Amino acid sequence: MRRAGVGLLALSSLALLVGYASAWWPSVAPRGVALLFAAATVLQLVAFVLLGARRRDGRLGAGWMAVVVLVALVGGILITTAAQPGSAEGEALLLGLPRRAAFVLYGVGIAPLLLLAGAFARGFAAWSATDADVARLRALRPPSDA
Amino acid sequence: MTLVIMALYLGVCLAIGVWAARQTRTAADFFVAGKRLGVWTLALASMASTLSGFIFIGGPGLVYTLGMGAVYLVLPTAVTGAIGAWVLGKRMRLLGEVRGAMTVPDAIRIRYRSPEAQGVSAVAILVATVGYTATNLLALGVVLSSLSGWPLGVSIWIGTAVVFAYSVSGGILAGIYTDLFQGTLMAAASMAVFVTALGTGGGLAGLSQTIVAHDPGFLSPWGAGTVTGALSFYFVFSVGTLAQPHVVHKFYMLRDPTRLRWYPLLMGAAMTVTLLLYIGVGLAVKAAVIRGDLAPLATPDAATPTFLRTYAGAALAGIVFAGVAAAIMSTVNAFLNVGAAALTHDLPRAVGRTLTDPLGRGRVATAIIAVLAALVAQWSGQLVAFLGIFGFGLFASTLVPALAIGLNWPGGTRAGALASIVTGLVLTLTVESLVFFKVIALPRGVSVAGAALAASTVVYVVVSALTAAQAADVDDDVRAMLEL
Repeated sequence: MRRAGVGLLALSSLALLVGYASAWWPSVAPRGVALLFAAATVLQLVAFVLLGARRRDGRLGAGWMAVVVLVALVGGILITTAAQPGSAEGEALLLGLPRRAAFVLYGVGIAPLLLLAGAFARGFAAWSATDADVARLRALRPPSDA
Repeated sequence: MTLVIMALYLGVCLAIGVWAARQTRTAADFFVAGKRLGVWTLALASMASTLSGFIFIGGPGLVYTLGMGAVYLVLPTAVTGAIGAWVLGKRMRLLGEVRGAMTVPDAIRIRYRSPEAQGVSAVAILVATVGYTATNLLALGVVLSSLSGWPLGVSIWIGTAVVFAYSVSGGILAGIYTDLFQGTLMAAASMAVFVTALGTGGGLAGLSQTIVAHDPGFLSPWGAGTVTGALSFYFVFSVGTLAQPHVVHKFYMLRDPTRLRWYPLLMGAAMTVTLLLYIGVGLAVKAAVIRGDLAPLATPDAATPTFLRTYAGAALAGIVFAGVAAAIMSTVNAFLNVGAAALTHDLPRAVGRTLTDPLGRGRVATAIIAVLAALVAQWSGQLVAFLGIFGFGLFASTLVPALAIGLNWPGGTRAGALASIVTGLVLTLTVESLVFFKVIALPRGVSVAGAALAASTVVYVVVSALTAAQAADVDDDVRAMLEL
């Protein structure tokens, strides 16, 4: 799990650097760069979930829910909209905004808050450190810090 | 009325400072609030110190200019609470509890057994702290000057004196409880303005229809900016948030670790409510200009003041200006605290020294940084804007790999941490300087902060892989913590 997380971080960081570098080569298709950026950014977030939400048994537990939300909801919306740039002319309104802008604002900016916070709370007991963990770490402290 | 509300607000801040000064007896009280915060306090204080005056002044101006493109700067709020808690919450709390860590460079030193890494990260924090604080003090001076008519220089020093008074006397304890008051004020002001903004143009749907009919690109998914520019905002402000020292060091302060369970929900909700103003004012002013109700703005930063003058009563304007001051002052206080800790705690420890009377020296260091930042704000002209530009990016590019990845990956090494911190520091300072002084120009959509963050991450992973033998050189308690 951790190896996958670090690998994803390195690869997505390289992808972002390639995306930035492509700004100096006008022949590169902007839509391709946009898709690369959208995918790499979401993979960064997924990588941090793989690293941080991992439990002591090595499993991800409720962190999988966060991975699904990030890939399917945040990634899905960002990648789909990156593939279809263009103005909002003629778009129907959804919750007060043009449809695609509404998907971005509510789908990327609001819904993940509830879903990720819910996943965090659900998996908290299995993920967090116990008093016994703290006592064990204290016993392992180097003498200079004890 | 506006001035009366501002005076009341400043008086409450000072009163909290006096109360907190009586509670502050040790360096732990001064730097980590005696580790006695509840989760509501932690969430609101984190929100208040995360959001600076930019959210109330610069942000609505950015929405007025870029439309949906500017929204990507605040969309990460939905993910940063949970990811931050997963990545840092448990381990920083354990380092505080087991090793007495009080600062972000403390965590880096303990993780890598490296005083050098603590020293280099403290230098990065100090550089960014003075710049960011100066920018915020200048903004506070502008707000006070526009309300009172006092000269800008006088206003900067009056604003500095108030923050200085409660930061020096009560340290982070005063900061936290003023943050609590300030955060509540910011959220209330934002909600009130959002409702007023929607009322100016027939609700959100009415504003959208007006804008799309005149400028259909403005409310396209990427607004008036570039796709890569918008996604750079999203990348830097989501991943970069994982290493903002004035926010993440609050994980050390929680009284009961089990209450962390609800932190992402509370923090995210508080941030979302407070950010309503950011979007609402930008859209309302854009629609009002299109309708001809307002003249086009001379500068984007005029969006909020123009909106308040035109649509808000004196009481609401007073509350919002107090909210702006609150946002600025809570951020300044948090920066003064991490800067003072870098100066009196991290740098001495990096060279193997521990200072006597850390509480007294912490107060002196807070005073020095506040005066230095106020001098920079008053006299350095364009330099202030330059210093303010790279604060967030500098924290992100120097600290994310060593801290956020390092606390979760046993393969990270001391050499990797040092190399990534130096890469972030040199890249950010060099390229931002060259761009600011117009020696080079970057193509649209290229973000120095984003590129430096990606580069320092790659450097951390690659150098750690090349020095893999060092990975085993950690203390037993740290090794055990990394497995939890």
